[in-house]
Amino acid sequence: MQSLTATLKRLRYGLAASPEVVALIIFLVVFVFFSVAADNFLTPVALSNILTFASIQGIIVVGMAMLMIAGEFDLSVGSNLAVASFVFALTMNAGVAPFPAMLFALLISTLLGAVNGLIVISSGIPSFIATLGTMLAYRGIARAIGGGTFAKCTGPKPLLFNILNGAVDSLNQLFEPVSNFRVSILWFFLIAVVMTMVLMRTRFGNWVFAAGGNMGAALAQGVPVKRVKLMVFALTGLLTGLASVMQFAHRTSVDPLRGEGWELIVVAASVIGGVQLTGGVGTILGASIGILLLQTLEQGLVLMGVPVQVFRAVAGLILMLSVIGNTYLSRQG
Amino acid sequence: MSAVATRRETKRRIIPESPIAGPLVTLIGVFIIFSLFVPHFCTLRSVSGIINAAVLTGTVTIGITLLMIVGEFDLSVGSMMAMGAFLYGLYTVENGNPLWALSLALLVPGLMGALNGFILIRTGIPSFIVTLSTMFIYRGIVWLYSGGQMLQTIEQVPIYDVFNGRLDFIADAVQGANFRTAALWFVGLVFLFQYVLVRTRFGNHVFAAGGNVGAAAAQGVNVKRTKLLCFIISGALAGFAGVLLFSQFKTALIATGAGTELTAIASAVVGGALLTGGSGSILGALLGVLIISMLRTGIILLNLPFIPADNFEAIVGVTIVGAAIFNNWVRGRS
Amino acid sequence: MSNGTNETPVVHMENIVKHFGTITALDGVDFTVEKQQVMALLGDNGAGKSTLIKILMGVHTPDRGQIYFEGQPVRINSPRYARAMGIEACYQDLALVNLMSITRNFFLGRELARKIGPINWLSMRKMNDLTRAALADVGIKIRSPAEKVGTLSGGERQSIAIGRAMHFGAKLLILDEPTSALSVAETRKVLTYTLNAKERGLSVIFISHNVRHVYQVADAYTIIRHGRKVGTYAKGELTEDDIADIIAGVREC
Repeated sequence: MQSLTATLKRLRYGLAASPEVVALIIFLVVFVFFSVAADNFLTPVALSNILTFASIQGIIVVGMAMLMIAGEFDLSVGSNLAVASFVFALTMNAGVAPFPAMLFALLISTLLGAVNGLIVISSGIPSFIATLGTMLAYRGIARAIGGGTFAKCTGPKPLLFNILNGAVDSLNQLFEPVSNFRVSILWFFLIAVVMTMVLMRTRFGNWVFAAGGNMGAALAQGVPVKRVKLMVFALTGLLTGLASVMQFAHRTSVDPLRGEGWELIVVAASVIGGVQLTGGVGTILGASIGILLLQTLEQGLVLMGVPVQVFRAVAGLILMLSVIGNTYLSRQG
Repeated sequence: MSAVATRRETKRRIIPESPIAGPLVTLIGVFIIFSLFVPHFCTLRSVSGIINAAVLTGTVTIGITLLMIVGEFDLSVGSMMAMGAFLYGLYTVENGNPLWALSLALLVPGLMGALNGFILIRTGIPSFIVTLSTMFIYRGIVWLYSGGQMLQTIEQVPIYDVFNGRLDFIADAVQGANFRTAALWFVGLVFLFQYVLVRTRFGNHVFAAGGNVGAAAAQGVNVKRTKLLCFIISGALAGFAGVLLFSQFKTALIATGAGTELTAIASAVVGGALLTGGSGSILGALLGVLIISMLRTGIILLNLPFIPADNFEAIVGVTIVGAAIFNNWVRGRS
Repeated sequence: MSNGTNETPVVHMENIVKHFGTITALDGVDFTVEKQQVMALLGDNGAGKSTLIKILMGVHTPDRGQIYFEGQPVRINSPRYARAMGIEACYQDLALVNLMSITRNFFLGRELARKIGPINWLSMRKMNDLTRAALADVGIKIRSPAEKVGTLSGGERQSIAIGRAMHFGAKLLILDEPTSALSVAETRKVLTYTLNAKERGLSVIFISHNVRHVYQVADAYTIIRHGRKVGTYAKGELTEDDIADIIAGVREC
């Protein structure tokens, strides 16, 4: 009995030290569940869908994880996504070449992120309130530029779309029905790796951890906390823009409701992956596992015919349980 | 250096410490400006429309304001509103017991609020994360309970008129006036809760717990119980808003109430409540709700070419940010 | 005084006035710290000690008055500026980021990095080695520089903050309530490090309520009350009880 409690204690310390492992375990549980409960889950189509959709949201999650480590939130990413998609679509429809149109969309999305940052650092309003507000405001902008309706890509698909998010036909054709592996998976992997290195191995990354872990101490040591936070907000905006153009390259259309509800998903993914709400702690790897988990959940539920409200409810439940779990683990560990 | 300091002091002394002075000035200002520049704004029909829209959100805002004063948020009130609407609707059609329906519509959302508060107290997780989660969880429960169907009735159940019937005698007397009984209920609730806040011990505890938890606890205030009660009240009020909504429209949708939480927060902030807690008033919330409702009607009537009429939420968003910045500035922060 | 009065003091603040709205926090305060001196700054809560310190740290700017650092008139506009001049503060909660390692904390804001384009690539190994060596140099032994600071005791954290300041060539160290919430053994360690710092040429401003602790390290005491300086006394001029009386205002000296 003694050794059992001792091993349990050691297990808990071990888990507390690496929340990524916890996330991985939960992911495996969910995966196994759906393998059994949902038909057609273990097919190349379904699995490739999970990876492809997760990669789009994952690019945004990379930014969100860094932002939360710095101690802030951005709930406006879904609306930012919509605006960027509209900008991309309408600019191309107006005759601009795809590549400059993409750059313009990225500029706009980065700007929107920077605006969030400016509001937060100059007014001192908590970021979740400020970005709740900008979430609505940016959604309004998306509606306004779209004229209240959706926008499509007119004309043939340009080469840029293939680079951004082309289907990997050589792989996809191997399966029957044709699977959906896309280039965005590669981009996501690249971005996640690069940003992890930035976070863990650069001076800027050190500053991000310090700003979120103890803003007062960081300021006292001369860290330009305001500038760091502004940059991470802008980075999140940029990554949102990247995700939006990649998504558009796949879907070739955008409606005013694009990205709705994504704020819950990206925050949940980060929290599940071990990013703490109070800041200063977290990894991009963990957040990536988190988004993979949530996308698995979504696809699995879709295959079971369950509507989106239930998915969101379950996601909300998982978010809350993860926060409770992480708080509990870190308090003892 | 000292000349600047004294000038800032005087400015702050001119804006009186009363929390509703600012919103009152804003209300009058917005009304005057819109009456001058927006066609058909100052008609009885549009004014009664403004009031009717304000009443539904306003009922929720009372609870949200209470929570903000005690230092917390509840993003799940929209889902609770839907729950209240469905419960009330399902139990009043086909000669159901109206009292039972009303009780359920208040009790169940009240319990949902209690759950929010309980999770907050036991785990210490910030309320906006807890309620961000429960917002979606409760919406899922609404979906489950309603069986995925919307609820609609054309029955003329008398209790509907009690809660939100049209005041026909006014409508008959004056052309276009569309005042409803819900307005009376709402105003009654506003005065009730303003009284509770300002003149009861509970109200004092609410301000204390929101203003300085440590000091309040040291003085023997049961902070946890105070917060829990505020969550329960807020839930019950959201349920009642659902009752009023169903009484007027005789319809309940799965999506009922979505977005109300943000409008309520915006109204509370415009009404002078501080995001950091410890300050605010229910009367101010009333003014805030009217201002937001006026903004919405005004924008719709103006029919500006690049602002589609359904862009109300963008206005709410800008209002939240703008009003919060304004409140901070007036109180001399940052 | 502990050294020759001919040397320029490390910091000399003259006639400092600071208002916050209608409240006068400092009403014409003079404050001087000599080179290689431990100056205790004493006073009750609300007397103005922390305002004075924050002005030195660049968090506030005085409404009136002049500051001289090593003889030169200066305007301390920001914490970065203060740090660049050699003024370092060790607040108990604001010194270190508990969730980060000792090394990352040690070099926070002054990270050693290779510059690749716009990116500053951290030289982790060099920083780890330097951290361990630098702390050992001032007598602080740590198990591993990669340990998170939060796992250390209050006294150890305080020592690392002091060690950091010493290593990076601070000229003036500000310790605000360094011994409150510490055990007896830890308090002794912190007081020892304070004297170490002085030996290495630093001056220290030691703020504390605990007159006994102060008595063990300070060369001189400045007592503030209600935003005004009551007086500056050398070690030995007053007993502990005298000091307590003056702070409380029972005695005017």
